[in-house]
Parts: sequence; structure tokens; C-alpha cells
Amino acid sequence: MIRFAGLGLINSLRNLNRSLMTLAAMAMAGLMMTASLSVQQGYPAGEAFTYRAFLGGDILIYPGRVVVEAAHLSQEDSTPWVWSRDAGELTGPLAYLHPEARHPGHVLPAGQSRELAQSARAYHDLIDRIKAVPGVMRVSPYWTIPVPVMYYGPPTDYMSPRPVYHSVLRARDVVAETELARLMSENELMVTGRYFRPEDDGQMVAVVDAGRRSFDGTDISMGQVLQILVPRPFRDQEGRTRLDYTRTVTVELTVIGTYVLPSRSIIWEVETPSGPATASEQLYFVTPEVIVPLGTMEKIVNLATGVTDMAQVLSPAAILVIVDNFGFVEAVASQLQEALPALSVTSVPREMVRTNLAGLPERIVEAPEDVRPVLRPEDLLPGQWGRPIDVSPLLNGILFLVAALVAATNATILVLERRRELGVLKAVGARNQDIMVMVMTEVIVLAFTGATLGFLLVQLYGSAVLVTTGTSWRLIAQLAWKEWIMVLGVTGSVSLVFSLVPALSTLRMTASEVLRLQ
Amino acid sequence: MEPQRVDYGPVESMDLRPQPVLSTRKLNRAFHLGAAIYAVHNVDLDIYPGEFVVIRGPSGSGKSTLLSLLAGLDRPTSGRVIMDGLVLNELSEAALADLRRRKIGYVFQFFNLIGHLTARQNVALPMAFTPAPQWYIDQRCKELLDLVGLGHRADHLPGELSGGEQQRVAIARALANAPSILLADEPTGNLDRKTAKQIAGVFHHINEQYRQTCAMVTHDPELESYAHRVIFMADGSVVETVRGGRGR
Repeated sequence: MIRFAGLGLINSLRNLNRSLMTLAAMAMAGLMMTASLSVQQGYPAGEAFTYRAFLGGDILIYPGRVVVEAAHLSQEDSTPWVWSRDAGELTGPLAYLHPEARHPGHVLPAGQSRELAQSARAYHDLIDRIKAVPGVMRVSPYWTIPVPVMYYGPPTDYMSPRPVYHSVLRARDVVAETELARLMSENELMVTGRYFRPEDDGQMVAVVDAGRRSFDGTDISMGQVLQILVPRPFRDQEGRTRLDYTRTVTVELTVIGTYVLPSRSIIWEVETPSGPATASEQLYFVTPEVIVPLGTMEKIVNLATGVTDMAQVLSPAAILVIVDNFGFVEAVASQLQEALPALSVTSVPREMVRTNLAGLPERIVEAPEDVRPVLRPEDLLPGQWGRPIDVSPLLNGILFLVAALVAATNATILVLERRRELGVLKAVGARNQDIMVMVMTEVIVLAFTGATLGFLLVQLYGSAVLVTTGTSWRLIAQLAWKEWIMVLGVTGSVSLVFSLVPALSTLRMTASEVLRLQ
Repeated sequence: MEPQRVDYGPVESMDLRPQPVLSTRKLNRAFHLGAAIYAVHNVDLDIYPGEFVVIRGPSGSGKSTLLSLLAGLDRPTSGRVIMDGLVLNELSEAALADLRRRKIGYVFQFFNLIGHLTARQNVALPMAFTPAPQWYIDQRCKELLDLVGLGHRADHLPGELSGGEQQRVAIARALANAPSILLADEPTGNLDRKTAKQIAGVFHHINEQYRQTCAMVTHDPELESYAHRVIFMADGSVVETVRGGRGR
């Protein structure tokens, strides 16, 4: 048996011209399979784009270890994890995406503050540390101040104030950040008015969510003037941000636009007299934010406190990170988490899945109870967000199928081309099983070598990119190992099956018949 | 299936005549092309040890089909092929392969060498399917290539050899496992006259020097001079058997 396997191996080396062709084809198959697998494991560029654009980045960094998994708690840690009761003060995406966290609080390592930074210096150090992580392109702090708002009616009815309600003042860097502006303009998401332009920076203007009527019953339209009572932020002795609502500064902001953020649809089946029909509800991502340009926010804080650096009195609710290459967002996130062990780092797509598993961030009005919330993880995989149809699995499938066909065709041709040789081997006294072992060895050697070559071509590029993002070699090796096994398994088994069939049909003939075929 | 031994007669009346290496009895090979067409029809033949038999006949007379049947490369429709007491058509595929390897050497008209193997490796091929150690295979290859006069071309690929040289390699390959019989299907049919004569000389030398039993299908009447016996075929049947040039 070993001798015949050896013969197969020697054959593939000796018959180099033909072997090179087969190797090239198998390499192509391996390359396509690896690419398909890599694409499948990454995110498409548009993944969770609505959320990324609205939040202002691809990776979320929360203060403290608020995104806690069982594995974190079970680690041997000299610091005990304790219950934190001050979560009622949460603002920003943590409050929107984790409504349950508002009241029960969460666990944190003892002695750890839930502030991102306890001083302006610590804040700037933190930003520098984040920027130093490979793969990070830009950092976007999520500045918020919870504010009571008194709004006035339309300009013609300026003197008729409405009740005060709670809102959150949020800053957007309208000069540097273009994602939300692009999302708004390309998708015509402004219900009234317009989104910010760079020249609005520092102006007393705001945009608000037109859908907040469903959120808290209030209705704001373009042209209204909002009177905002800005509390005086300060840091206490422990460096925590405090907001003094007894000494507020009143500022007036003119609403220049109202927007909506449609996220996705829920489709369900309803029984009608004419038979079953489908019904759907468009969901919207709604927040109580009054969005102002960053320069405007700085001006307001300066009015309230006299400081020019907001970090002296405020700590952002979260930090958003924009990565160089969104395909490697998870690798960058894992590097950030390694660099910032006291904070919670998560990619926006993963956070959306996690949030949805806990409860939908969007309000559902019409859909019946039994279709919400969606709790099956397979329904919440990245790739199903923000688009009506996700074609990437289909494209991956086609790519994979083509790769398998390339391998299958080559394996078949490899054997069919050698029918005369098989006939000669039979004629000189080789037994069928000996010939099969020989052919199979040759096919497997060529398939494995070719597939590995193709795999390496893709993997070398992928690894080079991952290394530049600071991903550890261990992680790269772990990812590569699994993909390699899968590529080898598919290429090898497809090649074996598709070479086995012509080989068996040839060997079933007499030597004379086989030689006569040629 | 246990190979069937042919009973040539009662032991008490021991037949002391030489036993044939290869025999056929009522051998038929039909191809079904609408109706059954007999390429070989009721052939009875005995080839004795050390004999050089030439089989002649016009194209389509069934010579090559008969040789394939004799070599176990093809299965007869009916009748028997008996080699060293074993009925070939009753053997399993594995047993038949084993017999081809040990007892039959076959030379094709178009050489059928494996193009990516050197002359030496082609000669070694039949031995690769035996438990022979490598040193023996190497020595045997050298002997055989020297025998056919190609010792100096051992490491050449078939593409680098002339037609005559390729055929000599094919003969050496056929002799690799010291077969009981060497069968050759028009071995000179694809060669020029001079080369054909050289090849015929090789067969003659092997038969004369080593008493190697040979059966050769040919169109060439000149090869009759090397034969002990010449068998003429027509329409799948043996029509005449005459003495060859070396016949007594």
C-alpha cells in the first residue's frame, strides 16, 4: 500500500507539467474558498451602517466593564467584582442600547470608577492610547449632557412655552464626521429642514429626532426654538462628573431639521378573510437627543463653566472609534480591549446583536407580541442588519461552489487524461486497488498542495493586514488553522470523489478496452 | 474463486509429451454491434515452452483480439484460455492481474510507455507491483536494458528515444518479471524496415538465447524466418498452421 502511495507521490512530481496545471487549478480553488470563508467571517462594508453613522464610529468603548460576559467573571482575579448602583445616571448609547442597565446597575471590579476618565489629563491620555492602537483611524467622543428642555412653539407663537421635558444634549463633530451627513442626504432621512453643514459649527442650531413623539409624546418641528437649561458640570473630589441643576444656564437653540433613522422591518403573517397575508412594520432607532455641533457644545459648556476644554468638567458617555478597514473591526476591537482592560470595548455590529438579544432598542408599535423580541441568535447574525436582503451569503455560496467545481473538474480531467496509463498499468499486472491507491494519492497530494498554495496566497495578504492592525500572531494562527482545515477538507473530498468516479469506471473495463479507448 | 486446474489426463497414464505454456479451447470473442460479430471464432491453439510462434493474417482477421485474450487483457465470450494449468477466464480480476504480472509479458504496437517515466523506470514498472527489493529491481533493469542494447539510454524519457528504442524499452519492460510467455502485438508495425529488423532480432535473440516462449502477431512475412511455427488467421479462425524458418 505504502509503495503504491509512494508511486502516486512520485508520479505527481515526475509529471511536473501536468501537475503544475492541476496545482494551479487547485490553488485557484483553495484561493476562492479561503476568500469566501474570510468574507463570511468578516463584515461587509455596509454592515450596521445606520448605527455606525448615528453613533459616530465602528467600535464602542464604554466606561467600566459594563459589557460583561460570564468568562470575565470566572477568571481568577484578585480584584472582586462588585455591584454598582449608580447606573441610573447613565446617558448616551449605553442607556439607549441597554435600557435594562439604567435601574439594576451592573458589576464592576471593586474600586473602579464608571467614568471613562477622572480628569482632563486622564481623558487626553486615554484618547492618545486609543489612537496608538494600530488600525484606529479616528476617535470620536460621545459628549452628552442630560438637560431639561423647554421649547417654544413656532416662531410666530414664540411666547407660548410648553411643558419641560428631559432630553440629552449631544455633540457631533460636524466638520470631521461626514458619515451621518452622508446617511441623511443619501437616504433622504431628514423629515424637515436639513442636517448640519461644517459652517454650522459654533452656531446655536440643533437637529432632533422627528420620531420622538413615539418616544415621549413630544413633537418638535423645524424652526422651533428650544430653550435648554444647561446644568453646570463639574468634577467631584473623586474625579467623577457631577451636574449641578440648581445653577443652570439657559441657551436657545433653533431647530434646523428633524430626522428619522429607519433601522429595519419586522414582517409577520396575518390571517385575512381572503387568506394569509404578510404585514410589516418599519422600525426606527429613536433617541431623546438634541444634537448640536461640537463647537456649539463647547460654547455652551464654556458658558456654563468658563472652561474651554470640556474634559475638565465632563467625561464622555462613550468613545467611538473609526477604524481604517472595517473588515478587521473585530481584530481592532480585541486589540483595544487588550490595551484598555478596565473599559468595555465592542464593535457596533456585535453590540447590535447583543442588544437585540437582550431586547430590541427600537420601539415596536404594530407588530404582535409573538413576533417580538427576536431572541434566536441565528436571526441576529451580522449581515441581517439595515438591508432588506443580504446577498453576501449567496455570493459566498456561489464563490465556494465555483471553487468546488474547479477542484472537481480538475480532479476528473486528471484521471481521464491518464486512462491510457491506467490501461498500461493494468496490462503490466497492477491490481485495481493498487492503481486506485496510486491515483488517489496523486490526487490528494495535488489537491492539498494546490489548496494550501491558494490558501497561503490569501492568508499571507490577510495576515499582513492583520499584523499591521496589531493582531497577535496567536490569534492569526488560530483563525488560519481553522480555515486551512476547512479548505483542505472541501478541496480534498471534492477532488477525491470526482477522481474516484472516472477512475472506477476506467478500472471496471478490461485493460484491452481501456487501451482501445485511446 | 479458487483457480481451476485443468486435468490433462489420469495420473496413472502420465503424458510425457511437453505440456503447452498456453492453450486455447473453442475460444470465442464476439462484439455485439446489433448482431454478434465474432472477432475470434472457435480457436484451438497450443503454444509450447521455448517456441516462437508468429500469427499472421489480414487486417480484421482477429489476430490482435486473440493476443489480448491470450494475455488476459480481454475476457472471452466463450471457450477457455489455459496458462500453466490455470483457466484465465475463470480467474478473478485480482488473480488475473497477478497472473499477468508474473507469467505474461506484453509488447504493444504503439509501445505504450509512460511518458513521464525514464526508460529505467518504465522497465521497473511491472516489478513495482511485486515484493521485489529495490536493489533487485535496479539490477534487473540494468540487465534488461543491456539485453536490448539500451544500457546507455536508461535515464532518457520515451520522448527522447527513437521508435525502435522505445520498442526495445517496451520489450525489456515485458521481460521484467521473467514471464512464461512473451506476447507481441505487431511490434514492428510502427517502425521502418531497418528498425523492424533490429527489433525482430531482439525477439530472436531472447528466444534463442533464453528459450523465452514468444508469440508475435505481425503482417510482416519476413518475420516468419524467425518463427518455429506460423499460424494464419482469417475471419477470426485459424485457417492454417505451417512451419516457420526455424521449424523442424
